[in-house]
Amino acid sequence: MAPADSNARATLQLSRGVLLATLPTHLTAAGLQRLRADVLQRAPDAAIRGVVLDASTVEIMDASDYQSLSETLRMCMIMGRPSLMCGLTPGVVSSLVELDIDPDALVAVRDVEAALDFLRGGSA
Amino acid sequence: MGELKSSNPALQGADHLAAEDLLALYDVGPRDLERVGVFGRQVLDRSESYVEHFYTWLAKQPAFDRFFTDRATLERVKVVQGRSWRDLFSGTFDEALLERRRQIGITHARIGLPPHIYLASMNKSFTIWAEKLYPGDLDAATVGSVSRLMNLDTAVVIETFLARTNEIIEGQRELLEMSTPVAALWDDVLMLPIVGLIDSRRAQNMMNDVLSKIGETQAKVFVLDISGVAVVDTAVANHLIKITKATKLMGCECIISGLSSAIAQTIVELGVDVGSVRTTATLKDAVTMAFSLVDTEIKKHRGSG
Repeated sequence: MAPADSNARATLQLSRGVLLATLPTHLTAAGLQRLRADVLQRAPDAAIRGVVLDASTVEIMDASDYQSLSETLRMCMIMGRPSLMCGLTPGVVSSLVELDIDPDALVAVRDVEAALDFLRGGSA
Repeated sequence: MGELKSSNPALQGADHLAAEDLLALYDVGPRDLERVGVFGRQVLDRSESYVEHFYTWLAKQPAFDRFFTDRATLERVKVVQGRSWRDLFSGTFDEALLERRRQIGITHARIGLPPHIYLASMNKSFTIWAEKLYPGDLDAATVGSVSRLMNLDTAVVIETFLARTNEIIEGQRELLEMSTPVAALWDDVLMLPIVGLIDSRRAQNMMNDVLSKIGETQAKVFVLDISGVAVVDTAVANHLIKITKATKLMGCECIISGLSSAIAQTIVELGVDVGSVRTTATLKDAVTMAFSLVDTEIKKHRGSG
């Protein structure tokens, strides 16, 4: 059986210069901190030209999770790496809007494909 | 609902049972109906006195003013009610009478009379007929027969009332769903024309529909046309902004079209912050903008027009 926190940890992979982090189903503050540390550690790598956070499997996201993720993306942007979120589901979006979050705090696109298009310089 | 009907009469609602089954269920036999008939003949010629007692009581109830706004209605209801009691105390109970009782439930559902008022009215009526108007003392057997028949009648009316009310609610729900027709205008472009009033429930409904449609179709642009919206105030503007925020998080651009000069004026005067929401005056502008966002162009055929 998998350890209890295995589904609270994001998986990172590098594909054609894009650092893709797949967020876990259940977000925790500790998990998000570790994700930030991992992403920021790898972002300066010259091989990386963009960062994508894939939220398609996330079931619940509260305002502080959203803030933490948007801050991580902004930190990467400051380091010169275009960064965006993708795959937010209708249920998560609906609850985020009710929590009155700022949608302009990050760039969001539909799915990983649209994110890769965006980073290639195409439109989202 | 039809297929859920049970073949066991005891499990069916009273609004579906036949007169015969109902009489058996409420233990009302031919002797009881006979006693009710005798009781009816004793009291019905005093029905004017019943009306007087009953409406003196009803006028004190808070719901009275809501349902009897004018004198004509009140007089009409009094006549109908007299007929209804003569019917119930006739000493017979057949399908035709049962159907007339069900109509009472349907009427009450239509005007939205709360069931507790109806139940209290039946309770009060029994007291008036049996204690105030019946000449002499009632024997226990007649009291039993009359109250069993009245219980049966109340059950029929309330069951029909509930069934009809549920139908009304179901109809409203369907209407609400129909009021948010999110349509694919083009590849990657969705559109939702809104007509009428927007309240928070409708806005929530629209948002859910739009988000799930974006999820299904992976649309890139969503046009929300509000030219048919009757009133735009702060609340409505905030609902619309909420929808645009949500679509943005789904990776879909939202364009709000149909902002007339009056609406634009209202929004600015109310100090609503539209932020980065894309807005256009006409649907044509919005569609043009949508097409340019998905790199599509509409061209006239040479020589036409």
